[in-house]
Order: sequence, then C-alpha cells, then structure tokens
Amino acid sequence: MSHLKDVLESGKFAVTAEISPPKSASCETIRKKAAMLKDCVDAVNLTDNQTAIVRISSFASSLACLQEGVEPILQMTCRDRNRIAMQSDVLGASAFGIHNVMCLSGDHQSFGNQKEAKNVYDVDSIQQLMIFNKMRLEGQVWGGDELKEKPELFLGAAANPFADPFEFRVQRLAKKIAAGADFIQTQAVFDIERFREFMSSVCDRGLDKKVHILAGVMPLKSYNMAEHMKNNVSGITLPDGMISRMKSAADPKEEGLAICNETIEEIKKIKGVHGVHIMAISWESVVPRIIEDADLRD
Amino acid sequence: MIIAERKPISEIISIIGNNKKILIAGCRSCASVCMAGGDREVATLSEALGLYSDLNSLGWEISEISKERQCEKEWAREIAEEASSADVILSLGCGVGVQFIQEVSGIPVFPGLNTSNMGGPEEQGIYLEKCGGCGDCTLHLTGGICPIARCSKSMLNGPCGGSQNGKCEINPDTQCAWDAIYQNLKRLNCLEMLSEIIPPKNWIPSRSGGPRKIIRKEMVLSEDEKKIKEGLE
Amino acid sequence: MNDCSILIICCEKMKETVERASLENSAVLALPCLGRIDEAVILRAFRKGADAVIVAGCVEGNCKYNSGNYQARRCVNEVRDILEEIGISGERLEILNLSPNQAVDLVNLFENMKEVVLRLGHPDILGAER
Repeated sequence: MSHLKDVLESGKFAVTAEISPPKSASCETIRKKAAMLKDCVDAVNLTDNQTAIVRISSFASSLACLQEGVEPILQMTCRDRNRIAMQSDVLGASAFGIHNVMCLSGDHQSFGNQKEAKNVYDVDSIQQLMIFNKMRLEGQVWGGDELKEKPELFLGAAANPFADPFEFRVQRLAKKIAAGADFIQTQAVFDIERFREFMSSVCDRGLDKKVHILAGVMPLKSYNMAEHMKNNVSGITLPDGMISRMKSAADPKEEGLAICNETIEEIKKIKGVHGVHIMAISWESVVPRIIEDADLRD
Repeated sequence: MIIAERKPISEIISIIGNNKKILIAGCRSCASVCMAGGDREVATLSEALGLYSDLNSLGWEISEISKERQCEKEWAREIAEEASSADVILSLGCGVGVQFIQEVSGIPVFPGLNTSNMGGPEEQGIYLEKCGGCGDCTLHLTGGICPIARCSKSMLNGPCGGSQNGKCEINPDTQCAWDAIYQNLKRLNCLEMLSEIIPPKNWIPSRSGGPRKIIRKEMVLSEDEKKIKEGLE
Repeated sequence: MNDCSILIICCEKMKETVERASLENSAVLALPCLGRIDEAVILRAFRKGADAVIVAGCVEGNCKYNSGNYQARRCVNEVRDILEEIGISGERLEILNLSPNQAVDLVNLFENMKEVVLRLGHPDILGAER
C-alpha cells in the first residue's frame, strides 16, 4: 500500500521531499512540482496550511500528487480539526489511495494570515496518532464503533531535536512511537552535533529499531534566510560558522547547497537514521540536484 | 479568582450613549483584587466620567455603589434597589456580576470591564491565567500546571517543537507551560509520569455542552423549605 | 490668562517648602503622605477648576512611610492616561520629587506649568466655572 513503507522496511535509505500547496484553487503548480520530483524521491509531503496561512488543502494536493504518479504524505494538523474531522479525513484519504499520514500539532494561528481564528486542539499530535493507530489496527473509530473497512495507514510524526527541554525530546519521541508512529521526520538539521547527540540517545533506548527516522535538511538560499531561520523559526539552531559562510559566500545559493550536501553526508554516517527529508521551501526544483550531489539514488 | 480589566474609557462613554443618570456599581471581590472594579476604581471612573461630562456639558448625574459581590442574587438585588432613580447601571464587576444585576434590575446594566480569565496576581499589577475551567482537572498529572489554560495549543502531551529556552514560540514573554511542567516534575522527582501518554480528553464537562450546571444535591432547598425561608426575610 | 490656577498636592514633609515658594495663583493640598493620594483626588481637582496639578513629594527612597512617593508616581501616570482618554492633555499633570532645600525645582516646574496652561488654555468647563 505505501511505497515509502516498503522502502523503509527493506532497509534502504529513503528520500522524501516537501511541496507547499499554493494559495490557489488550482493544483497545476503541484502537478508541475510533482513531475519534477517524480523519479528521485520516495514520497512527498503536502503541507497542511503551513505557518497557518490558508492554502489549497493538503488532501486535494495529495490527490493531485498521486495522479502525477508521486506518492504523497498527507500532513494533518490538530490546529484546524477535531477528532471527528480527523477520522473522517483519514478514511477518505485511505479510500483514495493516500496512505502516508503525518500527524502534527501544527503551527499556531498567531503566525499566519488568520490570526483571529479559534484553534481546535481537541487532541494533540500524540493523541491523533493513538486515534489513527486504533482505526487501522482494530478497525474501530475512537470510542469503539466498528468500521466496515479499516483504513490502511503508514503513520508519520515529527520530532524536533533542537527544541527544549532537550533531555525530554527523546522521551517524547518514545511516546510518539508508543502512540503508533511508523516514521519520523525531524526538524531541519543544521546543528549536526546536537543531532548526533539526539540520535545516540535514540539508539541507546533502542528507538531506532522501532521507528524509521528521516533527518530533515533544508538548503539555505541566502544569508538573509539563514538569519531568519536562526532568529525567527523556533526550534532551529544554526551554528555561527554556517551563518558566516552564507554571509561571505560569493554565490550564496551554491554555498547553501554545499552546506546541505555536507550535512547529508554527515547524516548518512549517523547510526539509526533511515533517510532524509528535504525541505526546499519554494525551491523544489533544486531537490533532484541535492539528491544527485549526495548520491542518494541507487 | 476572576481576572478582568476596565474597558477603555472611550468605549464606556460610547456604551453609555444618551443616558444621563448613571450608577457605577463596584464589586469588592475578584474585580477589586485585580484592581479593575473595587471602591477605588469606581471612584476613579466616577470622577473621570464626571469630568468628561462637565467638559462636554452632558449633565450626567453619576452615583456610586460597591457591594461585597455582584455574583450572588442577594447583593445584586441591593445594587438594583439603589438604582431606582438611575437610567443605567454601569457594572465594574465581572460578566457574572453584570448578568446577576440585570436579572433583578428593571433598567439596563452595562459592562464596564472586560472579563478575561480564571487566574491570579503573579505580582502587583500582573495577572496570569491559571485555570482552563475544563471541568475535569488533571493537575495531578501535570506537575500542578494547567496545560489547558497555559499551553497555547492546550496540549496534553507536550511540549511541541516550539518550546525554546522555557518560552513558547508564539511570544517571548509567554512561558512554555510544558517546559514548566517538565521542570516542576523534575523538581518533585516525578519525571517518570511524563512517559505516560494522556489519552484524548473528555471535553463534555467543558464548554461543549452549553452552560454548565453543578448541583450539590444535599444543599438544594425543597419547595416547602424555600417558602419558609422566604417568609423569614 | 493671568488667572490660571494650579493645585499643588504635597506631603507634610514638603508643605513648608511649598508654602515658602509662595507661588501665585496656586492652592496647596497637604496630605500626611503622598501614599494617600488616589486617582479620584487628582481628577476631582480638575473638576473643581484646576488648570493643572503638580504632585510634589520627597525624593524616591526618602519617603517616611517607605513608598508613598512611588505610589503617587504610579497614580499620576494612570491619571495622565485617563486625562488623555477624555480629551485633556496629560501635560497638565506633573509629579516632582523634591528635596526640602530645592524649592527652586518647584518654582521652575511651576513656571513651566504656567506656560503649558498658557499654551493649552483653560479646559472649557473650568473657564466657564470661573
């Protein structure tokens, strides 16, 4: 059912990327971007109104992606849906062949373009995993009613090794696994030392045997972007050396790609990492090159 | 306690509209403690509105009254009785007070405060929301810190990825409730509690089912007893 | 505009200093301590015809009752906001922390305040009342 699942379970190094759905009633740009990524990634995340900015739904985007022959990972946040909507959406997704579902608490609405919205947060991302896990394993909705047909789901979750309290992050990851997560995509890794520390703690607890961890990477496009990431995006730490490299680079884009490539090379050496998740925000076209440079295709 | 703050005077003025005789009603409970609607604030607002009226030749007649609580019928009734010659009552109690007075008053009762939350003073002049009033308390699981009220996502299995240096990503002044929970459970030597997943919450006791009514069965008066009590008054 | 009237609210400790400055067209309201002051008192002064109000107390840290002068400062700040909200300039209200031998500071502030009133004029009602 899920190609991503097959790849991860066969022990291959998986590669996923991300497409952000447009602020539009058309899926054309998604189709174009999907075609661009078709032959080089195992699956693609379709974000769910990321940073709380209204966009075409991640469900519609996932469907468009599927139609283009690229396996989608449907992102679903707890911000906008109660448990009824979540379960209903996941049944619909499975029915249409969308099986990878990424469970997220979601960016707070105060960051987006609907600051006055009421958030839902009926459940949190761990509880969302529990609910979907029950649906697929027991064929029941939360509360116990039988489903005629179980959804087939490969459940994803996020982990942020760079948020605080640092020492609790691995334990929280364990909770996500216990709740039903099959794969994890991490926040973008820039601080490789801290990530290594995180992963060694993950392996010490044997969690790498229970879940597939894909390390997030993000190519920096400019010095400004590096500064912005460092100062405004919570849960991202950028080493000063990296910032100064971006600042002094003659060609910042090339420098960003070089850093990205070095990061992937380091990540490949870290025990317990089963793949990379490439987040090239509004720069999807560069993903094939990153993959080629890092020699990620067999 | 209930935390409230005075509406901007310009808004109060526009709420008063064309009314002339105004009774400002204070509340000596929560609204007084959060310095929004006690005797002192009633006097201040009374002078401020009086000055505004003088400046603009509006001829407002302003009187003042404060009672121990507006949120009980007995006190609310005393306020309403004092207002017999007024056009409107401007309540500096919380939203509960406004409603109680309006129930027994024949003239309109207007809110002078914005009622915010259940919390308490962190220090003089600084009030923090503490309780989400969800009707199903889990403070024993969260180190005595309410994630419903104090986490911006009301998460029960936090902290989310937006927790940095003990702060919430939505605002550098906002403490991350889940960081605080973690630190507190650590201090109490109870960190193992955080390996348990708290399952999806039952929100029925919360606000999903209309106004919540709590009945202390043994304290409810029978019709006969009510009659006897009323006769005594 | 020679008849502008300014109220000086001071504490017992400053009363003598204030009176010795013998400021024309001023009235003095002496309280045991500036901690006694509240918003209503200041606002009432304006209602009763003051064109401006000066609150004069001891230097911060020197209050006989610990923090009366700090309380007065917070009170003055709040009243300034209220005055602005109802259309009276907050410039008409000042607080001064005074040493007993520094009456000159008070005289200077008083002269400044007279200029403020001259510039802003009487608040309507106050003119009408006089």
